[in-house]
Parts: sequence; structure tokens; C-alpha cells
Amino acid sequence: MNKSAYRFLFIFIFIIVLTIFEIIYYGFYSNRNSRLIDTKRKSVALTKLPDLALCTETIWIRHRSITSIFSIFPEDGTLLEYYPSSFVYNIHLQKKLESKNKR
Amino acid sequence: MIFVFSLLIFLLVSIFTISNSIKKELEFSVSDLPELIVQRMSGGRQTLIPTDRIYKISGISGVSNVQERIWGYYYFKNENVNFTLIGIDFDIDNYKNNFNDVIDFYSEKIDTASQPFIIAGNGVIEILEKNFFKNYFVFDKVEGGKLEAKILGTFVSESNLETNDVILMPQNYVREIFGTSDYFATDIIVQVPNPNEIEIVKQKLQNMFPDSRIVSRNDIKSSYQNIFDYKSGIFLALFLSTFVSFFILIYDKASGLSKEDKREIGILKAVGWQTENILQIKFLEGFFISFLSFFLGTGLALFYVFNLNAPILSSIFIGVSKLKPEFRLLPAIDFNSLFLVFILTVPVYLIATIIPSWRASIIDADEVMR
Repeated sequence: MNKSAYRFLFIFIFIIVLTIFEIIYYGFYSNRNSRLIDTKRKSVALTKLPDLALCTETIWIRHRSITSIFSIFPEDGTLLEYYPSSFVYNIHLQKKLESKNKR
Repeated sequence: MIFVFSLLIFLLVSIFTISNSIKKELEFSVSDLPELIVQRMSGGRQTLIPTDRIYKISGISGVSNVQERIWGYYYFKNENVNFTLIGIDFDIDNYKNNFNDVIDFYSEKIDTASQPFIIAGNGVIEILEKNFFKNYFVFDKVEGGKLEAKILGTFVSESNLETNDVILMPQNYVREIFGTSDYFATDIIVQVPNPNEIEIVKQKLQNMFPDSRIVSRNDIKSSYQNIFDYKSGIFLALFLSTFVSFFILIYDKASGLSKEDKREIGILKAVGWQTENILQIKFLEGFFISFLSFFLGTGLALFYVFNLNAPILSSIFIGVSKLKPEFRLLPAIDFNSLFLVFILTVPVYLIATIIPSWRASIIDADEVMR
């Protein structure tokens, strides 16, 4: 084997060993790194609110499933309803009805 | 070739690792929630629940603990954000146990009796400081007037994902801010230690209070799972496109060798190499390329996800809350998906390398070179 073949073999083995080390470290790290998990669990136990900001569907609200499944919040901090089906009053329909009645 | 192959593996492993890490986070946080949450519904909307129901609920066999909760959103006009304001009875032992690990107190002694105070998440503290509230915050009460509260502590950064927008405050002050009387609460939490009894207790509660909606921990779990699955769909699309591009690459390779490869095989045959020698060397070549790419892609993906916190890719999952927290993905590897990626890529590449080489090596050397 020439020099470059040795160099390639070295890099090959180095990358494999490094990755295996990384897999073992991260694969079993979660069990050992209990402080992070403990803190998360305790904070949930403290607030007792089911939340992962990851699951946020609306822009402002985080605790979706606890409020009301029927409430759909708008993209506004004042929590106004915005979903079309949540309005009984339809301004366009109202205008149509009014013009019909006039006729 | 190594670069493209590694990039594909990198994408696949990153996708699987992020989704697995977030799933773990979901499992951990949901497992510490109360078993049942009792809400009162009126006209399809949640309303305040009378607190005298606590005594009736605690009489049900199988129930170990019942507590009222006062919580809601406090809209902070200056920044157009909602804080999650939670009323807590700071004297309950259950809470005291969780304090020290989760909260960094600014002062050592907590004076719970004399004056209003808050413990706020890091996101809240940042926003308040930006608005010149250094050691205190002034709440606007629903029924008019102001309530000044001292900032007594903050949550540790590890819990950012769960507590970034949270403000804890003694219950009586939260009642004052929200204008809720002592006879009502936002909802009631019920703890049922035996998992087999949860459904029975839920049914009993439903019969006892027909106007109530009982949310069990499993409901919340499945609710989050729904959103998670919805978002996983985006990941699946990414996953499929990555696989399709990988198979296009493989198809291109398997459909035939390039002129130079054929020439190389022809020369080797001309100098006396046998078909099995050529196959051996081609197998070794494929083995080195595929293994190197797999391990390089996997190693880089793990570094990207756990050390760099997966910028760009992770934002698919994170919500769009204004108080979007910065958080660390939980280190967790799904060995099954890693194995799946390995099986779907490495052997396929090896086969795609060997078959065309075998086809070329069984033809006469002069014909191949011509």
C-alpha cells in the first residue's frame, strides 16, 4: 500500500470511530443527563400545564388543548375569533338579504 | 460521490433524530401532568368552575388529590404578547419540592405573606427588562386599578421550553388581577394514582357534573400527537424527496458504467485480472465509499442536531409564539431509524456498484476497451 492509501485508511477508521463514539455518547447520554430531564419534568409538575411550544398552532397561545377545543385564536394578542365558522353573523350575507328585502 | 451520498445520509439522519428527540420531550412533559382536568362548559365554551365541587370530587373513591387552579393569559400591550399567568398556593408541599431545582430565587428568603410577588420565565424577564421593569411589574386588574408585584425569581434555562412565557404568582393576587371570586376557579385538577381507575373516575365525574368537560392526560397526549403527526408530514415529504433523489442516483449508477470505468475494467482484464478479482476490488471500492459516507453523514447529522441545535430544520416543529423559547433538543437516538437508513442506503449502493461491474467484467477485454 502506498502513502495515500494509508492516509485514506486512517481517515476512514478515524471517521468511523468518531461517529461510533458520538452514537454511543448521545444514545446513552439521555439516560445519564437526568438533570435536564428532571428540570423539565419538575417545571411541568409545578405549572401543571401541558405544553410544548413545539406544538403551537396559533401565534400567541401555547396551551392549546387546555383552553377549549372550540376556541380558535386569531393572529392577534387580543384573542379575537377569526375562524369563518365561528361567526354566526356574516356581513356579506346580511347585505345580500337586505338588498333582497328591498326588492 | 462521497459528498452527495453523505449529504443524503446527513439529511435523513437529521430528520429522524430531530423528530425522535422532540417525541422524547413530549413523553417527558406529558407524563407529569395531572391525570384528569375538570372544566365547566357553558354554551360550548369554558367558563369558571365553582370551587365547592372540589369536596364532591375528593369523595370519589380512587381520587388521591384534588386542586383548584387559577390561570390564564395576561395580555401585555406594550409588546403585544400574552404571558401565561398561573396562581399557585406557595405553601403546598407538593410545590415546595419542585421549587429549588426549577427556580433561581433572587433572594434567599421567600416572603409569601406580605407583598405580591412573581416568578417569571426567561422570556418574560427579557421582555419586562426591555420595558424598564427591572425588579417589579405592574399588572392592570380586570376590574380597574393596578397591582405592583416584585420579581422574586426566574426559571432555570433548562426548562425554557416549558416556562418561557410563564409567570407564577400567589393565587389570591391572580384572582385579584383576573377578577375571579374565591368561589370559582379556572379548572380543577384530579389525581388518580391507579391508571385502571382513570376512565371510571372520568365517567363518574361526567355523570356527577353534566356541564363539565373532563380532559384526561391521554386526551392531551393524543391532541399533541395529532399536531405532531401533522408536522411530521412535512418531515415525511422531506424524507421522501431525499429518498427519491438517492434512488435516482443509484439508478443512474446501476444502469451502466461510464466509459472510463469500462476502460479501467478492460485494462485490468487485459493485464490478467480475473472476473472475481475485479468484483472484489469493486466491492471494496463500494464498501469504502458507502461506509465512509454513512458514518460521515451520521456523525455530521448528530453534531448538527445536538451541538448546533439543528438550525433551519428544527424550526419546522417549533411554534410561532412571540415568546418563542430557545431550547436544547434532548439527546436521544432512535437506533431503529439509524438501522433503517443504513439498510436502505449502504447495501443498495453496494449492489448498484457490483452488478454493472460484473456485467462489464464478463465481456471480453478487447470488446470492453473498444
